[in-house]
Amino acid sequence: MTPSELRTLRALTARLLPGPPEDPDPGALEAGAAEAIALLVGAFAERQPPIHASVGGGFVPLDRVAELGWRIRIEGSRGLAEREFAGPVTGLAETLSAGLALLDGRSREACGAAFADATTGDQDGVLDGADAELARFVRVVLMLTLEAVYGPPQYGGNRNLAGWTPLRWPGFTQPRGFTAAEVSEPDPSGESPPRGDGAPSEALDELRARLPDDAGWQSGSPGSQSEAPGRRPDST
Amino acid sequence: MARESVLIVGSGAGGSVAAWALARAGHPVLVLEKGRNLFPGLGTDAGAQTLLWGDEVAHERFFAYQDPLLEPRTFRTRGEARDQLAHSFVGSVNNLPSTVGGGTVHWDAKTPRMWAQDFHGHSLHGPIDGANLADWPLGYDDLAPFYDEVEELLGVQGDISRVPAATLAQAPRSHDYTLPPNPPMLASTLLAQGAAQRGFTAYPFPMAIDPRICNSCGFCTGFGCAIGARGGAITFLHEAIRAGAELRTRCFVDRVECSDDGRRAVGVSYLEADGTRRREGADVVVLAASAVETARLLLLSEIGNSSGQVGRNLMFHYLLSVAALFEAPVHPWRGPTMTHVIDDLIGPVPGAQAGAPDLPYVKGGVVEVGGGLRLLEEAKAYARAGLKGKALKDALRDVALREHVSVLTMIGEDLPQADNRVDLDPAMRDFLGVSVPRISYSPHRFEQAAAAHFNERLKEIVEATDGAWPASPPSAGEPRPDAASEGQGPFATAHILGTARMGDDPRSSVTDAFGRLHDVPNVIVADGSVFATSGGANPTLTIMALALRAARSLST
Repeated sequence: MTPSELRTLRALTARLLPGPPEDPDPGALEAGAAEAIALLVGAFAERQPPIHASVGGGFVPLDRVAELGWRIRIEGSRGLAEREFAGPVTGLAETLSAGLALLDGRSREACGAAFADATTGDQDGVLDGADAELARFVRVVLMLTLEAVYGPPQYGGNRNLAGWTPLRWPGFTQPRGFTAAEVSEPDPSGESPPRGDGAPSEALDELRARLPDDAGWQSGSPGSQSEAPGRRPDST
Repeated sequence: MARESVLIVGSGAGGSVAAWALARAGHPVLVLEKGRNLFPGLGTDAGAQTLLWGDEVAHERFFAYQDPLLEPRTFRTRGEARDQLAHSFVGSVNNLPSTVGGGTVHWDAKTPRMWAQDFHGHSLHGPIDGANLADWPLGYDDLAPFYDEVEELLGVQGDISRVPAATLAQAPRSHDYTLPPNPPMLASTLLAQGAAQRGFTAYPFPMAIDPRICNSCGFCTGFGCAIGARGGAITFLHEAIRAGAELRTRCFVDRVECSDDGRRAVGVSYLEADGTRRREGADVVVLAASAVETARLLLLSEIGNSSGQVGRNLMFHYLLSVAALFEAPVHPWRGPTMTHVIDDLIGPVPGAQAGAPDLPYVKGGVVEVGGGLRLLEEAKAYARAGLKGKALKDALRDVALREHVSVLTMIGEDLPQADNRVDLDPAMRDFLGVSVPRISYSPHRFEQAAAAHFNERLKEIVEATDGAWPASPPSAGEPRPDAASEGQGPFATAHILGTARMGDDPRSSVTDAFGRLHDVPNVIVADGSVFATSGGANPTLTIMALALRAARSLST
């Protein structure tokens, strides 16, 4: 990813998850989301590709099979026979590069400035007016940004636990875990996340009305169809 | 006399138990697994360590799963199949982990037993138009000793004094569970109280979790247990290797090789990761690759299919979830996903009573009481709902579904249908050039009528729960694996059953009551493929018990 692309990506992620002063809590910039996405896209420039984190730091080495899958997902199939057995695949690197160029183009059309140089108001205008192509790209970046901010810090995002601390999310707590009382009893008042007014029902009602069928209540659905990263072979 | 050599394809729930039983009985055992080994130290004095932990991103990056870019599956509805469409989706379809230990590396170790009525449903409750119902060729009593033995080895927690009488009548136990229950989760307890208000009994969910080790970290279903509190295939594989079994990884078996007359298997042929072809001979071949891959392997090998039933009768479970929105925070993510279960809605319920007068009856399944969202899942749910920017952050702060939503999830019975099937995709190949499995599936009206009926029962439980109210997403069209269906329907499970059904009649079933192929008796199927019906319960314990019974039939 070029410095210019990274700058655009930082600006985009900052609109997708804004930090201070617009929002009281750290956002994508503070959490290092764009840098974490750049790390993933540049995975094969690293000695240990940062695909699957080890709990204690570092990454689990990819074996031959896993490496092939991730090279296809990031680099694309590039017309190589060993990668095109199920059809051509556009890699995440190309998706990002083309998407950021598209975003800049749309920004220039809308307000005469590159996306990173536009005002936040103009940036939001570009995103709100996105056509299907741009919206699809923004969705890919949004999902990657959420993983970078709210996922474990081992992947380079969530710096200083900027995603977790304000929400009092503990993440992976081993070896401590939770005591029987913490599991079975309500938390002592005042210790319960989140902050806010402590009366979520109105917000819940409002959200319930807005959630479509596919919002997903259930935890841990295995092998769920992730929107990001990468793309699957096109259906034939 | 030397024991027969055994080659086992797949190291998950069924394969590991078979490997353990057979290696200990003195058979030379070789296990071929297409995934990686994420358990360094497995089979050594040091004991198995794990590379899996509470990492929500790993889950999105196919760690422990087959990569759908390399090993895609394809899908079409039955209607699309009738229209001769090759497939309408390519990707992951109900994928289980594809790694040493199989599905048990991600399970939350829930171990209900199937009920006696499940094995004889066709005789007891009668046929259903359009379904391919059949009795099992064995009954609960045949399986009970193997349930006992597997539970003992896995270490299953529970409390027999709280198990409802109806459950004990249908699934009698010779002894109490080996371990006491985990600390009850708050959300599960509150929902259990709501269930009691409606006359239902939520009791401690039997599970293969050691409460002396488990510290309720909350990364349970969908995650590897980082502290070794959960039993599973690894429990058996570790001992199998110590008893002399050999485990080889990244071996992609694509053919069972047979004698010239096709009546005896002589071994298997497989590809290594770099495409090198290898062969291994064996006196007995055990197929335990899970129901999609085992069917694929039988079809690739062109064996076992004189009945025409291989790949057919594919069943998932028809998941039905009703969310409970709690006024107060109830930290539903702390604990082993959920700690309670309700058996009162297994059925059958007469169709007229269930609002489905066109059906003689409907059936539900066990209801998992509890479970919720973690932070990243919550954030993604908002994003899918169209939120971004400050609005998304506001929702994480002020709505905080992770703190306020817990769920009731029914493991609904899915009927066998001949045209719900796995076959070989005519065009799509995997990275090794082997035809990929194609899933053709549409639900029967039975499952949809049952879901509509039981949805109301689950909502009533939530309505009776103090400080909670229900929300259930309306069903949206025909279920597909590429529609976001998390928590709902047949594509929200990794329970895959029925593609090599067992039965007494070789004309209508693929294996006998011990999993032996009618056509090639030295090939044994030891995974969920052999289920004649799906029941309405988490299937892993039953898969293990069946595998143990099959293995013992060989070694005694």
